[in-house]
Amino acid sequence: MSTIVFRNLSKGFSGVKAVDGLNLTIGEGEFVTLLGPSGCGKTTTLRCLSGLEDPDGGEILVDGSPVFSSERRVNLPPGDRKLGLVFQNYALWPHMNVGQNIGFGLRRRNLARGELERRVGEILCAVGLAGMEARYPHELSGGQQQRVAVARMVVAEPRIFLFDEPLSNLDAKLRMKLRSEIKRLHLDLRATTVYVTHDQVEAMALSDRIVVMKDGRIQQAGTPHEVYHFPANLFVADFMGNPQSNFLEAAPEESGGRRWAVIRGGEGLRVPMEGAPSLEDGCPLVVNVRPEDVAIRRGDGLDAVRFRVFTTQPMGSEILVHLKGAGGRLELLGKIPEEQGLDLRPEMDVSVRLQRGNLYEAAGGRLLASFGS
Amino acid sequence: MADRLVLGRLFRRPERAWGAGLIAVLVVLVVIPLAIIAVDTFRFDESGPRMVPGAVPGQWTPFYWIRVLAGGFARSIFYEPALHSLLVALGMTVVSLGLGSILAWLAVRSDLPWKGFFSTVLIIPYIVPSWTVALAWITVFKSARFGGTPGLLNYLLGVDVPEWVAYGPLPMIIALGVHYVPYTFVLVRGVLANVDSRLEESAELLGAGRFEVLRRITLPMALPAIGSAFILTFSKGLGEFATQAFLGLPLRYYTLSTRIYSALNNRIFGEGYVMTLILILSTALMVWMNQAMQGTRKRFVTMEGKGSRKKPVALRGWRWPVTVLVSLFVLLFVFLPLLLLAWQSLMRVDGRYGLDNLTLHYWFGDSNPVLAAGQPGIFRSPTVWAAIRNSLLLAAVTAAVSGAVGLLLGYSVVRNRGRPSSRILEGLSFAPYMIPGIAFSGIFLTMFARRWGPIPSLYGTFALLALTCITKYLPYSSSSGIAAVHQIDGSLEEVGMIHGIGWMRRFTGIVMPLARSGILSAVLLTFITTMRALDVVVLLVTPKTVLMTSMIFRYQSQDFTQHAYAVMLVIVFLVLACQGILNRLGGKMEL
Repeated sequence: MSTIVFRNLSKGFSGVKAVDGLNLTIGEGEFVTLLGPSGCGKTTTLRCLSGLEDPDGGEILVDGSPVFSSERRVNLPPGDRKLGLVFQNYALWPHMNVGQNIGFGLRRRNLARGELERRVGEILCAVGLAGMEARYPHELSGGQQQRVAVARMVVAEPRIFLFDEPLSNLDAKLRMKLRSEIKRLHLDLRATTVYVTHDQVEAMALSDRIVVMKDGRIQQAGTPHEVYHFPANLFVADFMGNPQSNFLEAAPEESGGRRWAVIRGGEGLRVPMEGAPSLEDGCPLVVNVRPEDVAIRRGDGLDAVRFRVFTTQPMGSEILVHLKGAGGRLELLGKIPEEQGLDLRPEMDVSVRLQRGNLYEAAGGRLLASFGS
Repeated sequence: MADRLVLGRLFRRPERAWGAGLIAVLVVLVVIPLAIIAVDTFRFDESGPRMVPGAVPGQWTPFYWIRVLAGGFARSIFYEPALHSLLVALGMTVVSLGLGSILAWLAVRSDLPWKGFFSTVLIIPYIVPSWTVALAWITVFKSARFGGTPGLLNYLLGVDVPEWVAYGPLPMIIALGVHYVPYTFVLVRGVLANVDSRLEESAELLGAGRFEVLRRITLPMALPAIGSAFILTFSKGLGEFATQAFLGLPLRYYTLSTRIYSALNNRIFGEGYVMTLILILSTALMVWMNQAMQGTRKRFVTMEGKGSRKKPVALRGWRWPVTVLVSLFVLLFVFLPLLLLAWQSLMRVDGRYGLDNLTLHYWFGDSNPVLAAGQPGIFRSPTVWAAIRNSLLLAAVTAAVSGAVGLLLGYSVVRNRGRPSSRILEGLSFAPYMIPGIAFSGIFLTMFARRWGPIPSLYGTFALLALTCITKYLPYSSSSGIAAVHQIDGSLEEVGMIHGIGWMRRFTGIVMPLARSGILSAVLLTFITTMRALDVVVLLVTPKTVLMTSMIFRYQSQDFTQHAYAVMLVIVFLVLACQGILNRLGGKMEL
């Protein structure tokens, strides 16, 4: 169990800053996910931590002592950092069998032959591949290869686990299963873990804390709950959308002694603006509402009445409802439980309420206030 | 205190250090010699006083350039040979690409029977020395009328074969064309196999017939690649030496490469180097054109998806006639030349083809003053044994060293990708490819025949032969090395780094086992190529370092044809055995 501190870490590739002044502290036994689109710097950050990439500047401390520091001229080789890494492609040595793959990392410890075999057998048992020592990587399924890669990392008893998109090459079913296994591994061993992914569902499912990155900078670092429900800016809100969030243009307006954000072209659709700094009337805002936070009812009864059903897409337990405003300009995506949506048909008139969401400055994308929570 | 940050990086990534080392070695072996001979063309050499009264060796002069390009002898020294070179190269390219393409199409896309057999034996002309067909041609068409013994046709039919059939451009074009058929065959076969068959199937679904698909879809898509095969073959043809020597020198029909040979052999270095430079520049131009074309080819979809296995095109009524033609080609140009050489080596008196004239004397016989001026059979001659030993040793050393260097070079190039040093190294490692063998021989003769800086004179040493062959054939192993390391994902080594496995163990435990098969085929190919090499070594061989190929050259010029052919067959046997091993290993012929 270790703590990790990044101080002002920077790394550029031919002029482009892949990581730009990154500051982050990871606590003992914490499971932190670096999340972001490709090119956001998450993998570079991980590779700098592992020592596979030489940062341009800054500091990385593990348990308080530097493994890299441009100021103190320290740069420990990867092998001296006592960490393990599972690659996206698993990086199993194709010319070695499973036992040799796992044992190769242990040789350095000069274990007796019997002890080595015992440890390899144990770890294979733990990952559910007992007795597969003699198989070669190409004889294994993707999921089995992934488990061998995990076993090879764990057996060396590193103080930090690193995962670089370890589930991306697997099909959806297997991904779910192995996700659960990785989570359990963390619960059992409690090793400090840094996990890189571009899949926000994976990040939500696994992490104690999610660090959302873009262009080499941290956009938000927080618990899955915080990042999901209170995205710090529009980029995070968009990235965390699943399947896709509603982003509605709005403007502040005073009415009945309260301040409201009134949706443009929204036929009177509005949300309260409590806790937001005072803004001029007409200042452009963006309201972010998740589809599941859009209430839909046949006929009138909710806030705005003049919406019409465009399509309905049953998803099993839920139904995705695509709505259009009467003016035709505003589109809204709702997700409602199946039983509430079964009688909805295209061209049907419905009323709508935005139950919960966040308000952002249109310029700059800063979070101003939340409503309904 | 040494900077730990910098030192640490150097230890973890030693490939950067050797990258620089390899660049330095290649600069010394390739770039500087080229620069020096370029400068030397502007100074009188030891031949100066012979040719210009009062000339002092070392004195600056435009003499050689004028002599070659504009003087009274320019026509016979340069322009005619250059024209001959172009004619021969063009002719052989048309022959080999035409035949090679047809055979490739038949092998990939038609229902020709015995494809596996044909594909295997069609490679043979490229494995055996390039002048095999040339020598066989001479034995068939030579005539007692222009000196020496009668050839097969002359003997059988009593006709005097015209000189231009026996020697000169026509047989050169045919002999070299046949030699390069496998080369174009393999290139075009690769192209055709890579044409995405879905594109052809789409055309068929729209109602196009099989041959219309070939004409309007397959050919246009394959055309850029075939164009590149044309350029590559042509540039190789320009540099060919042995065939042009065997089929041209008796008639004094010179090409650029044989002209270079005689200039350098007569120690008129300036003249030889002017032509060498011109030859190198033309080859480089060809290679550059090919690169430029490949650039546009990449934008074609040609080399993409494998598609599904396509149903072969039915030849229908043409199936058996085509099979007979292909078999005839194989018989006449693959097997017959070897058979003729064998028979020739068994003839007691050259030119008499009766069974009573057969003898093993030239193979195993003791010296007999009546036959071949007392030359013993090749296996009784200590010189031939020395030649066999030298050739095998040279091939082994060249193959092993260039294989090792190629792997290290490939590792440096691939793992330093994105750095300028990687591009420079890759470019330099390819440079020897553009320098024709005979030019190489000449350059190394000048450079290392005398003491040069810390390097002592190497003339007459085995080391010089090895150095020349290693440098000349490095492109084979370096391109394989680059390809092999390229296939090893960086993460396979990075896992090792994370586990604290040092560089040496990563290289021997991960990189080498994974690159082995790719490098091994390059090593064997280099072995074969070195063993049959003549042009690269012809100027460097001395009686102490005699090789099989140089023995053949000497025997042939002294008219000891039986000996020449016997040694030739030894080479053929050895290279075919190597190719057999190569096939066993599943290695592909890399060209």
